[in-house]
Amino acid sequence: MSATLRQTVDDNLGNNQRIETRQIRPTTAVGTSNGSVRFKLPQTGILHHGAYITMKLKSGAAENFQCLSAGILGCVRRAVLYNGNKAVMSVDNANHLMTLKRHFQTVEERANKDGVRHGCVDAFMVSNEDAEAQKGRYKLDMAQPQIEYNAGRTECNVDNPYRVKTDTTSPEFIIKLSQLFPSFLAGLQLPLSLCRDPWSLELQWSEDVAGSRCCYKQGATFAPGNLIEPDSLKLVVDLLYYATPEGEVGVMEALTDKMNSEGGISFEYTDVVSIVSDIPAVADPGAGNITTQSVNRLVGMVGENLRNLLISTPRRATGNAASTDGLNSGNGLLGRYFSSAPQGEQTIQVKINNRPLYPMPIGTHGDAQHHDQIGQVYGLPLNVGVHQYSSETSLQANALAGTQQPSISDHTCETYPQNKLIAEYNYLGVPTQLTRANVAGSGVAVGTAPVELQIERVRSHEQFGAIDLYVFGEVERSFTLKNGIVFLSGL
Amino acid sequence: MSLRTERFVIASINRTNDGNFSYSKGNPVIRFDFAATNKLLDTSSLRLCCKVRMYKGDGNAPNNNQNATGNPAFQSQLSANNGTASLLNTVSLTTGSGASIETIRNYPRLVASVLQQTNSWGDYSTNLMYLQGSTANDKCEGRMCNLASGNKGKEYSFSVAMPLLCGFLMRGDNINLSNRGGIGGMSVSLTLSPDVFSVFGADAAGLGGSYIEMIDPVLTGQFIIPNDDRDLPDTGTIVYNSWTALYNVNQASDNTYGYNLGLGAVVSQFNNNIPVPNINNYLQNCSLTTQLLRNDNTVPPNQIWKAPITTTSTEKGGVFYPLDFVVDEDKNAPTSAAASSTDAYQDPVFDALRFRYSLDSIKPYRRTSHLLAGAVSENVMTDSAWTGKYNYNNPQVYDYGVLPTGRDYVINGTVFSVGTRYDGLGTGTGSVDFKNSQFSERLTSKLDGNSPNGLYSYFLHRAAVNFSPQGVSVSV
Repeated sequence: MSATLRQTVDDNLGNNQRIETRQIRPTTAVGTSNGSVRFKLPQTGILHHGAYITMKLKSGAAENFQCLSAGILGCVRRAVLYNGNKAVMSVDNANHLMTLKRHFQTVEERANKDGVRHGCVDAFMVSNEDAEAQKGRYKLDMAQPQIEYNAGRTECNVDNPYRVKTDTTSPEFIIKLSQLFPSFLAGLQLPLSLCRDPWSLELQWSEDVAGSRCCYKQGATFAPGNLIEPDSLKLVVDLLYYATPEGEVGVMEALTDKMNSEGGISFEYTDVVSIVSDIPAVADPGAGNITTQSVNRLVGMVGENLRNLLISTPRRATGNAASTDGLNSGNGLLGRYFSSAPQGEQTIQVKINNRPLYPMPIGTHGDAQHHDQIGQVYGLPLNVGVHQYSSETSLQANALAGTQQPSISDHTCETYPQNKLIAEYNYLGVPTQLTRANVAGSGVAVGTAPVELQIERVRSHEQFGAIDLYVFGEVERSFTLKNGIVFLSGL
Repeated sequence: MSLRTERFVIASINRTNDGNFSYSKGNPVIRFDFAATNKLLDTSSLRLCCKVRMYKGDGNAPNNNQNATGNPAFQSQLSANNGTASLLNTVSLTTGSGASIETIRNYPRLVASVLQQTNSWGDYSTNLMYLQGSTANDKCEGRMCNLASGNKGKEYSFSVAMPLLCGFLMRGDNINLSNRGGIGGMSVSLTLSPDVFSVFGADAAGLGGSYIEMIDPVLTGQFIIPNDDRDLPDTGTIVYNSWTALYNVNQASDNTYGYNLGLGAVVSQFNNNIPVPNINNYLQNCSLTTQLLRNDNTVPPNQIWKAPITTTSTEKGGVFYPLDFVVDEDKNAPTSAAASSTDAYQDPVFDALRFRYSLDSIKPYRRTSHLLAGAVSENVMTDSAWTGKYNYNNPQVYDYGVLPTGRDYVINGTVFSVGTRYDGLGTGTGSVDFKNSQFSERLTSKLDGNSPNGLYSYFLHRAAVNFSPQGVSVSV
């Protein structure tokens, strides 16, 4: 642990704010298989919400590259924030959830900022280039510095300095703590110095299998040995301190007084409950035919105040270690982090307290309804286009499509045709909150019956395999810091 | 106050047998009724959801895919500017007792300008595809309209979940639908545009004319319900924003037009243009927001030469208002002696002052964060070598119709309007009374007197719904 920077800022209110930046190394050893790491936060100052983790991923082979939509986020399977030995907030399958949430950002932010932060590549642009047959089709945006096209603009690869490499020259990326625990860290600047027990952060890494930390170029095979580089692993935190003007009550004293008052320091936040299930494979309906599959899944949340559900449905990885076509990654370009749309109608109904949420299942009027519902979770649109979200307008040679052409180009990335990305961003959402204000009781109170998710999904000759079902529920929690002790409700 | 929510799906009250609505098929009006119930309508959740299907005149699907020579097999599509909003000619809201809350005529061209000035190219490439059926360029929009032929095509369409861009519904808060201090129910009436307005393309007029259907449109959203009816807010008056649309024609080089608006609280106004021959023309995209254009020197002429605006000014009761000066862009369009017979204004200097005030009229300038306009669309970069190149950050590209080689996008991709804001600080509280004084606008340009340009004007103003024991009334 080392202090690297001190800075003093006068806030013009008579208070001097001192900012201390620390780089914190893990307190646990980082082995060759990586496993998990733990960082211990200092018991001093106030934690600024901009804290982040830096890391490098050394790839197992030059043909490996980071999952396009997840980047470095694909490495974190689980994150837990502890106070003493009390888990204040935990996020399972954090890699899937963070990848999903990235798509609420604008395309510009994903293309530019996230390329630098996480090594992500997933901004599309519509083509109007010289080759007429490409006009009106989408392709990976050539203006992203993360990829480089050939002169004919028909092939691209993840490029240096963004591509993960086999040695220590691999790029360093960051993950912000506010991505892992957005609601908690938005609630307040955490007064570390006032807490009796130390705070710590535990990260569990995802498995080193195809499509998890890295994908591989089509034609090659997946090479394991994709490891977090131990020397690069740091938690960078800004700690805030306030000087007390003479004769006045300073910020630190005011916080202490509040903590010692009857109510203590308290605020509402949301934790994430993650449920993993599946949509099982069906018998191949045969070319040109479809079948409809109905699946009911209980997703828990009993006794919780539920604000929303976010859902992803990635196709389950198949193939084996000898595969060269990306099937063992899930999606050759996106790895495990995507959500596959059916080649036909998909409807969703949610039962809360044994009562259907929707008078008519969502999706009966097209995939736009799903896109609308996830957009109403945070009041932000999901910034993916029809070509990414749905098979509508993009089907090719399947049961329902006839002669339509894909609206993503067949030009390649890492030798995979980019049209492998069609309809692979079909994230779903169910807003259940009364208001988007962060107040207690704004979620719906789930009684003794678990929330039930009913999915009806068209299955076709091209899509009859098993699908993983990741369901994330945001549930309300209350945090109180009183006399140095952290109290939590709803756990 | 204890509240709960309830989702709703409302079908139209004049639903057809198959649930489909199409202007050409004789079902041009869709009406939805909200009953007078003790519920609050969450306007931020309200969407018009439907599938949309394009047909050639023979009932089969068009194929707008570009082949190797750049010619689609059958070109017939919607405009990328406003997508499926172009299907709705008029949107009308009334209270349960029939009092008119808001009526927006020429809704597609309002949406065209509002979307352009509040959304970036990235939005057109992503969320607007579902919110408005609007895409990043016309080729892409053509592919959206591609559907499989025959029975397969009938099973599959593209879908939209459209927010209605009415002032009353864009308040983002809750509307009391009850008779207890509320509007006593609400009707939403949508009149479809003629297909010849919303559909265009080189082949659109063939086979008897292409047409488009809205398939089983429904309104979806959520109600907020108090657990006790006595908790319904008894507001007395709801003040809201409303759009009023008017139409005029501009073909003179010095043109002044005036309206007796009769509106008590005007917040802003803008107008956009399109050559009159392009309106209701299967060969032309009727939703473009072009600069003023004049005829070229061919016989018969095409209205494709630029006629730059040189000055604009707005007046209230004959006095300059709100700007007490003329927005002078004359230096930006240098005159040539032979201007009337040559394409003398291919590359006028960008009229930034006109653009700045027009931006302000739709969204306060200081709050503008997303915008479609860019250097290429607005002809700041005059290098025609950009044409056809990779379309990074270019706004929507249109190259249908008869246009000069290499310059097509420069003319048709423009994000063009003329406007002004009376609520100068953008606080949402300022407005101007036009009940007893006339609004007028003077535009001088390089028009030649023979080239009519349709001038679609939109006024954003405040209105109020008043509740009393005698019933509900609306005042403007």
